[in-house]
Amino acid sequence: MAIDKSIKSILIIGAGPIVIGQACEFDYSGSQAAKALKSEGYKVILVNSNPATIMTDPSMADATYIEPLTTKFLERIIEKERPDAILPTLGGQTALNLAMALYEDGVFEKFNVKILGASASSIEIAENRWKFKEAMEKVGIATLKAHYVKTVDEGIVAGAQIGYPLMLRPSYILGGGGTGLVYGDEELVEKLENAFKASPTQEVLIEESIYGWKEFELEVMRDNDGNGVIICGIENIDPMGIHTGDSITVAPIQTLSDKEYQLMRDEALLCLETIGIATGGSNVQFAVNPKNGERRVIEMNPRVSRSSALASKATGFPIAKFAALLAVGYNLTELTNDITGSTPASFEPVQDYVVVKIPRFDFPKFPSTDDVLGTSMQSVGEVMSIASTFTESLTKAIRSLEIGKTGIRNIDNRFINLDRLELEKEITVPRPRRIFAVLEALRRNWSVSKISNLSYIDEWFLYEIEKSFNVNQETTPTTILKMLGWTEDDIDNKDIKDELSKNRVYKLVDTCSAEFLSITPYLYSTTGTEDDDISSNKEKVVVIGSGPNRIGQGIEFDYCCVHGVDALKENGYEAIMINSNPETVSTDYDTADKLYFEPLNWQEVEAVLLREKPKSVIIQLGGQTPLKLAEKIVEKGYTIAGSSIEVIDSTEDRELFQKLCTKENIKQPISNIAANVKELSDSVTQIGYPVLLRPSYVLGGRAMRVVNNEIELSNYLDVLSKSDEDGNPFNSGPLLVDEYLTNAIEIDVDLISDGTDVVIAGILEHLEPAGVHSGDSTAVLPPYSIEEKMLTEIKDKSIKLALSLNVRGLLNIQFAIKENELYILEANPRASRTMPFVAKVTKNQIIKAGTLIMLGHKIKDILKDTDYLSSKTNKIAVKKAIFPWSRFPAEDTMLGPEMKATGEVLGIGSKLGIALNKAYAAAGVEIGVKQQGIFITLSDEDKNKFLKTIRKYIDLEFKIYATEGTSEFLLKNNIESIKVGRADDEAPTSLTIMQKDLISLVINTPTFANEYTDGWKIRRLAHDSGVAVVSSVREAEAFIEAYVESNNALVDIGVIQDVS
Amino acid sequence: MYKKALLINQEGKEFTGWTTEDFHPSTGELIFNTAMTGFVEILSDPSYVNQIITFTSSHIGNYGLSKTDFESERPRINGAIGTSFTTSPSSWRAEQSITSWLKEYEIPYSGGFDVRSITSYLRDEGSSMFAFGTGLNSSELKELLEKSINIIGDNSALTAGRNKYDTNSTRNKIGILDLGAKQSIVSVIKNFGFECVFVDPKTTAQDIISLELSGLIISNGPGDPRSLINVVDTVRELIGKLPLFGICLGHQILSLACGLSVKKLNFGHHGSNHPVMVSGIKNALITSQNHGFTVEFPENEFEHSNFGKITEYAVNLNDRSNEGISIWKSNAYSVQFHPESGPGTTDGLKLFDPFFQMLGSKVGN
Repeated sequence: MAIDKSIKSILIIGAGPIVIGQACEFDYSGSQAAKALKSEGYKVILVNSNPATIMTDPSMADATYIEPLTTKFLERIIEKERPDAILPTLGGQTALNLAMALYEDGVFEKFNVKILGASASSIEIAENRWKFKEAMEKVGIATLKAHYVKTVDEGIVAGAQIGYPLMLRPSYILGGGGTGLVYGDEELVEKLENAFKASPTQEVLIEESIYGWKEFELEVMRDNDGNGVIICGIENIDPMGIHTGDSITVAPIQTLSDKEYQLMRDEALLCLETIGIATGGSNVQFAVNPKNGERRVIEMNPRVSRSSALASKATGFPIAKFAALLAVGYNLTELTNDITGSTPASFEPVQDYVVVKIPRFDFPKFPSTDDVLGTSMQSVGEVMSIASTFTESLTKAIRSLEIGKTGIRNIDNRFINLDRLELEKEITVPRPRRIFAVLEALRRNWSVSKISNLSYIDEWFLYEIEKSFNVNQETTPTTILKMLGWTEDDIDNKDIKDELSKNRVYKLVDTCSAEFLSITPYLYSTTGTEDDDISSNKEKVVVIGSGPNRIGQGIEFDYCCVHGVDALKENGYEAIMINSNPETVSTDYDTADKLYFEPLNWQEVEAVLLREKPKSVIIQLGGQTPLKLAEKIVEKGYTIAGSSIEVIDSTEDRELFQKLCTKENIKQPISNIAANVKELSDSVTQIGYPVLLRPSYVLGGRAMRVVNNEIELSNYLDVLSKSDEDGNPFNSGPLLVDEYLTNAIEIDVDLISDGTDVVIAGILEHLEPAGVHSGDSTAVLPPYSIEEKMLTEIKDKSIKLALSLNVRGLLNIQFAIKENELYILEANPRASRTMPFVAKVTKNQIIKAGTLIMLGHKIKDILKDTDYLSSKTNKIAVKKAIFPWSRFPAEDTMLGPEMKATGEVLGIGSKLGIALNKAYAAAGVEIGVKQQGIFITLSDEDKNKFLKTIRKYIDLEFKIYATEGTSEFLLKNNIESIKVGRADDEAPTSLTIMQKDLISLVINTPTFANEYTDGWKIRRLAHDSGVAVVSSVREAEAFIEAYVESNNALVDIGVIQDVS
Repeated sequence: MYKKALLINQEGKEFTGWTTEDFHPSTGELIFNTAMTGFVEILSDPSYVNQIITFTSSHIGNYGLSKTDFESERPRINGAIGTSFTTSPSSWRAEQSITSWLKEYEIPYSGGFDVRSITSYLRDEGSSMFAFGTGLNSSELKELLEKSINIIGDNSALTAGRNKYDTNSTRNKIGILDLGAKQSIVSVIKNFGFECVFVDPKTTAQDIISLELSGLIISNGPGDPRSLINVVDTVRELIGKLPLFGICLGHQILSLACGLSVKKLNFGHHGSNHPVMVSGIKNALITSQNHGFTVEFPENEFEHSNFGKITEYAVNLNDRSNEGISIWKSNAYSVQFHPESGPGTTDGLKLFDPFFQMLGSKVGN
């Protein structure tokens, strides 16, 4: 080994907030790497702005900074910590881009920081399309044929050289205008002209089109000695043209012969060598022409990626951990394969099972977006499944999605009802549920070649699924039925059903197809006759995870599961994890004592419980997913840890909850339940507009909306009907109808209770008015504007409620304050989205304490025996939500009661202004870099409210820009402003002032209107150009505080290890 | 209609699969192979003569069969066991399905097995002779086992090769002592621009010398190397007389010829992912392996009275077993794995370099 002894401290940059394309897989990779380096004795310095991560737990690193991921803050941290080296390849594209920017700014040179893993120049080649292409061609690796052209004539020549179909890509465009496929000369001339117009440089890239080619990815590891191994080959079922993050993928590769695979392997290794990736994990993406096997390398990521996380989970090989160890000089031949505990890491894992990954989408939250899948990733989460055949694995993956589908034979009604032409269209145009259209076609006995021609899905996958539709359940052995993806749900005959269940066995993921004995209990269920088993005599506790990430249920709940598991392990229990999400830390094989990678469906969960016979089952940590299983768990005689089923019922059943609140004298907004249109209209009449509507039993405020009048009401019912497969808005349960509290302040309370004592872990005050979903709003901990008397009332009522409910474990309560009156909005007897944030800021390990309570421990003992609840802090923290707007360019960025955020960032400081300033910076709004101006556009009823605040901005010497109406109103109030025109007018307009960086804030009260109004354009452009947008006086006031602390924010940084 | 396919050994250990086919029962040493691609190569590799292969990979035959992948002209195994066999392959290279090809040669195969339970059994208990059939009960199958040949002492390598040898025009060509040589070895030689001829393994050393070959590759092949006493004697006489390169069985034969001993491995190495450290090469090679016997190399290199210093040339990093020897003074060396790939990585191709260098000027016209 050639370990660089000069390196003692290493900086790791995290990936920041969860966004589409960069989710908790980077928490997984960062945590693995930090752990590995720390245990090797390095001082690990870690920076991440995302508080809901395991990697930012104090124990993971020596110095952890939860600070904005901007070059300014990073330079400050580097200056302070003076790390010997930086490892930029573990925090996704965010970390890589930041490292490159710091390198270009000369920061590394200035502070003598060495870049590990890959040199700046090799990162640059890998990241630059054209340089990458040239480098590949030099060593004989084929890339896409492509030419830049500046005239139509050049285009025709280039087109002839490349051959049709062609892809046109105008240079330097936003949003894909002028991009398109071309099939012939005439079309080329026509479309080229448009493409030239679209490009500001009048330049167009003409590329060969590979839409419909097969897509593959190889996960490669390499060390300083030149050892290179392929950890996993992934094949996309969906063809090129659909982002791999949005594709259904399979591992190992299924449809390549050894000859073809080896050529690809050689090229992948040569690619890394050529680019100069010295050590670590990279992934290389290939396209293969199904007609003749022609191959192109598409791109290479010189870093750990989403696919590496999937590959790690698919094979059991810890890519990120080894990437970190290789970076400091170890090599693959001297590291041991963790899973077997005996063989070296320099071998290539093999699989005796098939892994299927299916992405999960949240399009109904983005109603202006057409849900066609393309080259820009739009999925918000994914599930992975493991089984001995492709078809069984596909069925398990579908079950894991938690979309109410039980497998390949449970086809969406909306496809069953389609006629031939409609179904053909659904197969041709890729949308989130296309797989069901394909299944329906197979069920109708359409030929495999026809379906393959329409979808570009390789025939092999279709043949395998087709087998399932061609067998008779009465005459086929259950072993075969199960291998073909049949489940208990597909079979009516009880004997056959029972026999099918008996075929369920549990096997290990062991990297070696059982060639070597494995010591790691990482299990999946599949068809078979014998179990692989590793069991202990410890008291077992099962933790049910949160399943695929979706908006409203994401990394926060995985954080809670991991903390729960840690608490169990620290207190002598055997922790057993069940989860289906490959991106998570909870599904790392060394997080729990035993891991079941399984769908979180009752059938699969029950089978695990039957096998493990746990003392208790924890359902409070994984969000709504495990809560839904509570009743069945109890029915079958298992014990739910902590709060009983009655507690859950009392909070979820409106009537019971109402009774309870009345009893405890806690005020509620008027609320009703409507099971049909008649009841709905009666409720609305009783409550009066505006009302808040939502379906029952959903998380993240899905389909939640404030409705102001009849028209909006019928529009809302239309939306619900469209997202139901039978077109019935009441299908998935009744609608909840609530009085909507206007201009109220929303409060979140997180607490733990053992039935006797209550510890309030945190009270959060939201900046945005109630009505903006709590997951989307900016939250301040502790409250900054609530009077002491009200705070006391909040605490008292929280405690009363917790005790009255008889909560054992965790409780989250949402309150609203309106006109000095406290209302309760809801209570959830489980971990909440805000608990990781509270735990991180206060350093109190509330999830761990809560977990112990669930198992019968008392708060007074926990206080005595552990340090879980012993911290105090004087810091102020602000959580800001992060939205996927850039992925959905058609959406309005306006916030409402339906949650749209994918992630969150934390700003922390000694004052509210500092914390908010940092939270803004972490969210992409760097206050103070633009000119001192604000732009105001208000609706008439709001204008008066803002006058006082606007004067404060004037005192701070802000220039005021305003639209005509607002400007006139201001003038009447003796405030001078610069009048700007509407978006389509001549400059200056509301848009040009942003483009010219003249303003740092937009004060805009949104009006509910059609899309693409000026308001829409202003909000979109503000988001794209890093300008803050606020819509309430509270937010506008808070922005001033953030503004005045601009200079102090950069100074007030510290490691969370000594937050006090 | 599905029927049971039964796999049973002398101890009565049974595994059950499900098949829609009828086939003649067969017997063979049950082994497992962990490769995830290269099924045609494996099935047609003469080294598998008298063996029944359990494929640990889930789906066998997805991309069908292309004759260019053949390691010999027909399937050489006695049976194939798997989770699932593909009858409708999908690939632009596919000429037919693997299943139809196996049927053509009346070779039994069946999916529907719990292959992992078989692998675990073989790993823990060692490989053994199994009988495989449909329509027969346990005792009928066991009877077949009594008549089957034993892997210990199996000398089928003598007839596993081409069995048709042309000794005209051999001068300055590379000879392949054909114990069941894989086509990939021939392809590598040709790709490097050399010509080769096959040599009958029953040829005497004198006759081989008179062929005036530029060098001799001792090929891979099936069975127990210790039963090939004449071949070992022949090779012993050839050491130092012309450049020698042993592959797999050839490695074991060269080792036996140097006085080293060979033993049976518990369950063998069969797969495409084994890391091997070769002396003089900095990084580990990911190699293709297929052998049930292994050379026992002493702790240190040693001096052979006739051939000079013999060193351990390569080591398997999984279990530290021997993967090669070198006798550079006598222009001879050998490797246990398959540097020619087919199936497997191309990492090992560079292992032919020393051999080609040894040929020196004696290279064909």
